[in-house]
Amino acid sequence: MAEHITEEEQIAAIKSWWKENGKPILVGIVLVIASMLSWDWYQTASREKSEAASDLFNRYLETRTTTDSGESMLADLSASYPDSAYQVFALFYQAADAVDAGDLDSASMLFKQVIDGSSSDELVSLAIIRLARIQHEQKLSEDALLALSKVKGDGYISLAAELKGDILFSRGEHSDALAAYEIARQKAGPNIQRPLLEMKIADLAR
Amino acid sequence: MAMMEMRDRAQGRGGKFIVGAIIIVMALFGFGAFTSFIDSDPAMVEINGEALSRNDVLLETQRRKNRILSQMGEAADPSLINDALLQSTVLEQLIDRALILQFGEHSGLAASSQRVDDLIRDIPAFQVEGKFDKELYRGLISNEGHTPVSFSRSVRESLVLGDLQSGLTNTHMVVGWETRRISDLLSQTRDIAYLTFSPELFSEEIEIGEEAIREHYELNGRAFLSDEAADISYVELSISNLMKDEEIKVSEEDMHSQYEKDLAAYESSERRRASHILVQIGDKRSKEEALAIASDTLTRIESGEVFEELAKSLSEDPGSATKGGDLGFVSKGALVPAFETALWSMKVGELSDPVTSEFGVHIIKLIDIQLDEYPGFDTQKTAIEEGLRRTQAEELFEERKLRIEDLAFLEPDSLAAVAEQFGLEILKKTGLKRGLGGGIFVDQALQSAVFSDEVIEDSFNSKTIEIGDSAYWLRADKYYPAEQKALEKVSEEIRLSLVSEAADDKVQEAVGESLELLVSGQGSTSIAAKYGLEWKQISKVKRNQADVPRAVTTLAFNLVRPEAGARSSGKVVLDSGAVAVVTLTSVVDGDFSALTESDRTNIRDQLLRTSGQDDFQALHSSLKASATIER
Repeated sequence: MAEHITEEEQIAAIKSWWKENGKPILVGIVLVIASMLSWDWYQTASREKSEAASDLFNRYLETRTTTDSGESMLADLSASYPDSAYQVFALFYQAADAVDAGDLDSASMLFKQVIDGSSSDELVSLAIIRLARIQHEQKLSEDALLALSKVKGDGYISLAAELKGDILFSRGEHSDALAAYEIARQKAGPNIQRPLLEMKIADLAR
Repeated sequence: MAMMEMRDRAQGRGGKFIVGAIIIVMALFGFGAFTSFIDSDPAMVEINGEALSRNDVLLETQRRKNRILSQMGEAADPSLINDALLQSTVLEQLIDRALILQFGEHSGLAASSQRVDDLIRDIPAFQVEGKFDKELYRGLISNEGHTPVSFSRSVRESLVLGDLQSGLTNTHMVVGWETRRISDLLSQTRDIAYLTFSPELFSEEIEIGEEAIREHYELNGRAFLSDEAADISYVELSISNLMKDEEIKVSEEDMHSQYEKDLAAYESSERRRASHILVQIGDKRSKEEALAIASDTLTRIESGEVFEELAKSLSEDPGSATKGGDLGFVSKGALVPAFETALWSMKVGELSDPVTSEFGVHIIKLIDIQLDEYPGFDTQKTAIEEGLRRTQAEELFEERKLRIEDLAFLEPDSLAAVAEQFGLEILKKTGLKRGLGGGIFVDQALQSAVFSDEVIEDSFNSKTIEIGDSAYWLRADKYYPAEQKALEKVSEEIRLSLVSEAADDKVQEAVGESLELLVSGQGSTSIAAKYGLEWKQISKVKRNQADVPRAVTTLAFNLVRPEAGARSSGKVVLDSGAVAVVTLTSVVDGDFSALTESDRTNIRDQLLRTSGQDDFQALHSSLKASATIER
């Protein structure tokens, strides 16, 4: 077909093709570049935000034990970076301090805040386990057992099973406790040393 | 070079298009984008889609290996390290690290460049006199196979891991029931008794006949070989001996000229600290005018004005003027020639006449010289002579080594010709055993030369063996192959090993029988009496009881809790090779209220540590269980 087309005809053909398709192509190119740039911008912005949260968290760690400004930094962290692990860490620190001070109710509230607020399965699972340990101390072991069933991830399932074993043991349900401990051992994964868990299993072995 | 080729090709139309495309990609993604297009570094493992390259694994393995070697210090021997094992360990650790870093990034953990830089600057190894030194830093990290970019990345990653560790592990907590639960277990006591069956108990009654020994000898004869050995003659050519050779001559003149060379080299390492006042020459000021200003300034200094003050107010070198003209210490070659010539001809504290350089006219003051005085010729003489002799001896060594090599090869059946022609003594070493031997014969190269085919089978002279500053040639005068030792020589050895085997069997038998009797309910005293033994009874054994063998307590605390009035039992091998039968009659749980305050604190602290570690470990196990790892 192309054999007898002259140069002018060729140019004309290209021109008319461009007239038809030029606009969408240009728009396409612009869109692609724009989305690349905005992705790049988004990445930079979120990295900078993470870095700022990290700096704030580390300042919090430095001053936590020495001054009272810890509280306000924590509030800052919660307000400005609500879905960052740093916010969760700060809540964990506060909860640990509360447990040290014997204030189990406050510690519970803080863990519940993590469980309701964080989108990370791992951090939520850890918060559930720490909360359940406190609940058992508060004689709320039914609540604890219920919450433990929601834990996700093999490592956390293992910790939850050990805790379940402890709760059952305290009720005198020794054979169920042993079964729970054995699940804990099995879910811990290979090459993991848990001497205290082994001691609990040996104590119940029959 | 790659860039050059690219530019040549870029002349064509296609080339221009490619260059254009490259510019666009670089502008959008940065230069790093290209490394992902060029697949010269294949992925070894993909962890949730993220590639871990073979290079990264090899580099980290090498780093680890170097670290291990430097910890071993003098005794470092690379052959002791199993490379394949090390690499697979490193690979697993890198996978673990990558998983945790991915979680960190996903959860919004990061470290700012400021934190990374601060940390690097604070590392003492990178500091000279308490200040960060860029050259030192680059040198040290490149030894580790790092570029500044890759090193900052690894520091950044460590900081993120640190944040994660802090958030998960340091936020550990322990509540009351947990301490009580573990205290109850830890302070539990058990009433036990154990019976020790040692092989010696039975060895006296075991008779091994001649026939059994002969049979064992015939079946296992190859285990009773004498050492392979040889009587050796050898000659040594060494640089230290050659230094005394009469061919080597060092004249007084040679020594003097070497001293001059050493002195010059030493002086060129001298550093001088100068201050200066600069008067610039330019469009608005001729050289003559500048010189006039300079000599005027010089007059002012000579009449008592302070050099440093004048430098501050007059010098037109902005860098040094504020510091009173101080340029700091410099070595030769760092300054313009006119300045340097002047500076190196001055005495400390002296002022120069105006000196003209391309920068203008300088008045120079020499503040300090950093150099100890070089020792005189007489002091250095012995060392110089030794050095010169050594240099000549090294040449002579290379030359003679080649000639001896030829001769030892041409006359392979004796070392006599070599010894005679080169004035070397034939040395002897008799009864050298393979794998053993003192002095130079410890050396692996010498050992394998002695027991090589050409020396043993062909009875030729060996090839040249070089160890340190010496070369050796050797031959075997007599060879003693490894032979099976005669029965008479080893029969006692065989008898003892057969006795010990039989005694071990008897122990196992007795232990098995005792355990059966215990299960069947027979009285423990009668079991002990059967073997002339006595039970060792201990009530209230603790987990860490010192006067009971470790293996016994470990077993005792792993035995099943007995019903009231009953007992449970088991066996365990002790360090001595004896076997203990252990019975457990009663378990008493710990009493938390009886613990002292400090016991409780200890247990609580231990729990805090383990619970923090367990929480971190749980994250890791969970990430690993759900990860897709493609190898």
